Amino acid sequence: MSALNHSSNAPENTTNALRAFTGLLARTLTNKESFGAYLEPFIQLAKPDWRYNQMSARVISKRNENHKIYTLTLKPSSRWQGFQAGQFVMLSVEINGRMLTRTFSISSAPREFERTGLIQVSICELPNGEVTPWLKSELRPGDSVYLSQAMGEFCLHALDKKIFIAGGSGITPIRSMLRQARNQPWLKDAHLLFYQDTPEEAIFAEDFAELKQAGLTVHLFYSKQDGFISLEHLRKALKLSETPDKTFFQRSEAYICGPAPMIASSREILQQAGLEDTFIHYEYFGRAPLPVRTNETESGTTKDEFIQVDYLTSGKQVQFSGANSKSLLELAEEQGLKPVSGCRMGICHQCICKKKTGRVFNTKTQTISDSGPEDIQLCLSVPVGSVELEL
Amino acid sequence: MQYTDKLKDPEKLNAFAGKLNTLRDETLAKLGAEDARYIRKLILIQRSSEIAARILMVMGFISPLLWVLAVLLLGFAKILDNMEIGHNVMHGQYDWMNDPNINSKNFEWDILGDAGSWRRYHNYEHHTYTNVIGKDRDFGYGIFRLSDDLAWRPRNRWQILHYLGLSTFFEWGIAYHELAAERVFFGKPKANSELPISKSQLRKDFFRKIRRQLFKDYVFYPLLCWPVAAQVLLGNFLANLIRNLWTSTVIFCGHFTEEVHTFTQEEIKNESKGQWYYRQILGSSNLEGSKWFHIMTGHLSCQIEHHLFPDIPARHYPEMAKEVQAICREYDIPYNTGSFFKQYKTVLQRILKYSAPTEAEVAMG
Repeated sequence: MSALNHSSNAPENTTNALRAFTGLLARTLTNKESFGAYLEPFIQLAKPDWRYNQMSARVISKRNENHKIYTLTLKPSSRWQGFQAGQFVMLSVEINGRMLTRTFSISSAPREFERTGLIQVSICELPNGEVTPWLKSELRPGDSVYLSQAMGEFCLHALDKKIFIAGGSGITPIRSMLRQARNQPWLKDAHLLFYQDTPEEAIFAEDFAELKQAGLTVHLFYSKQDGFISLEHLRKALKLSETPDKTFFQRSEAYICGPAPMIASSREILQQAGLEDTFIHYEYFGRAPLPVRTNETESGTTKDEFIQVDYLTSGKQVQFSGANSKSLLELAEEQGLKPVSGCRMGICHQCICKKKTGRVFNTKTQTISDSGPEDIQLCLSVPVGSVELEL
Repeated sequence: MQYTDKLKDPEKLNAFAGKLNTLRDETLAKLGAEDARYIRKLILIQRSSEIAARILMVMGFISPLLWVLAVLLLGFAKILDNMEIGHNVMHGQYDWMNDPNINSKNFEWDILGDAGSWRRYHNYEHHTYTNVIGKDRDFGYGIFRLSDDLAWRPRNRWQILHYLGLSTFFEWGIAYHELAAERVFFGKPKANSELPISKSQLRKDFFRKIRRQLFKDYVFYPLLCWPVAAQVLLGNFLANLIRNLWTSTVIFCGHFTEEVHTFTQEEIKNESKGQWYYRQILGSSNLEGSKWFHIMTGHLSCQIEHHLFPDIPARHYPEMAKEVQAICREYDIPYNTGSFFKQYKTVLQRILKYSAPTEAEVAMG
């Protein structure tokens, strides 16, 4: 940050040196990485939710938007540094002794946080999920959850004509952007195309009414009756001519958030209509999908699901057919990586590695893992989808 | 494979393995908030004891009794840290909690041996090749002759004294174990070394941990309490000694009792899961006792269950032991258990027995 700024180097060096010294002293006296880690059990006697490496947030309220989507209003701790509209947080909760983490976009606006100190996350319940149904049924106002600082690059850019396309709960970061922009002049030129299943399941209706008054043009689509996004929808909404309309899209930008297939077709349609891909910004919920490759076989063509393993520390990655049943340890070794390993049968826990995202099948317990960040044994784990490893 | 003579029928062997797998899965399904609370409570007890002991140690000038109490309390804290907390956490028993503090990768313990080094040789070498002569150096630590698998050498005559020495300085043995195998300081370097880190790193980690531990117990705390430096220094030394004697005694009872079997490298070739389970049972022995006795041994009193299921939280072992014993009875597999004193007596007998040459060796001159 201020590494280039020579005048501020001295105090920063002193702080760093002090921090290094305290860390060394903690390691020496307590064998823990910090005094906070060592004293954690005592602090928890007074504050049961305190964790030396986590920031907590208090649940203020919980509101159902429809039968699937619900909104949590949270009060982050004073150490939380705020966010930009469109960013997300990692939210962790301890469920039955286990810390589980999920990523959610913030659906409220930064200026609301500045005023009230509160943020909202709107969450879509996944029927077989481990976290989203639990948050909905078990979390009560007054409970604590853990929050990371805000992250993500899906934020507003400077160009003045904006097109927003959202599908289902993909509206959340866009809701944050639009609420933030309520008094901005560009709102009058902006369009929102929002796809939901049915009118009965419509969410955030009052928001759109207010935003309409503020000048936003809102186009609501219900895929059960209108179908999925199409060029026709776009042309009608933006009143475009039949031929690609470069002049209309001058100084335009599009922001898309929703399920992966929706993002793919939206990008295609926007490009057909005349918007260059560099001005299309999008955010996947979950990780980006891989292109489905088609393999020619004697009996004709078969679709083959491709799995990708990303080794984040070494920057390597490998893609292979989903039918492959090698362990993550073997896969890493084939890539020339040398993770520490031992018994290769799940006893010694030498090959423990942090998985950031993705599901793996544990060949010892015959269970499929959680999709969030956790430590896994590489020798026992077979990826069932794409996986990111800190290796 | 001689040791599975009683279970030659592969179908029977599979059924045996299946029963133990089922027991494992049933226990895994039970893990949850109760286990998290348990280990956090023990960590709280351990840290409270340590802090209280460090404070009481200074109070020795009020009454020597307080000093004695401090020594015992610090010994207790170190034993809890090393056994029920450290040993078990480092086996990955609590990795499922996703807690960075209670995690096999990060945990460092209050003992001279570097945690990383211990994890490498203990979790892998000892738990995979339990009691396989030439593979598991925990069987006798390269010091003792505890079975006829090794030829008698004159120095074995004094091995009961070596045993007392090792027990006294047990933490040094743990620290040096991996370096001895890799012959870092002495001897010809190991030909087929599988060390995943460089030797210089191994040496660095070894000295760093020793430096830190010695600094803490023998420089920092004595100097901090300067007027009573001598009593603090002596107290810390005695606390470490108590821990050394206790851990060494418990560990010797786990694998060196009278009836514990040893295996050859030939025997374990192409071993199936059932055979592996079988060998773990024959190679380990249990101690009976109260709940706190089990906790003080880090549940190594349930050495058999620990070797069958090293990554299941140890507090479940006593309950699992009943099932394991029933399964062993069904398949007529010897299950070695007894009181602490009975088992320890056979350890001493074993050390003494093999300090003498076999009759054949005597006859050969």
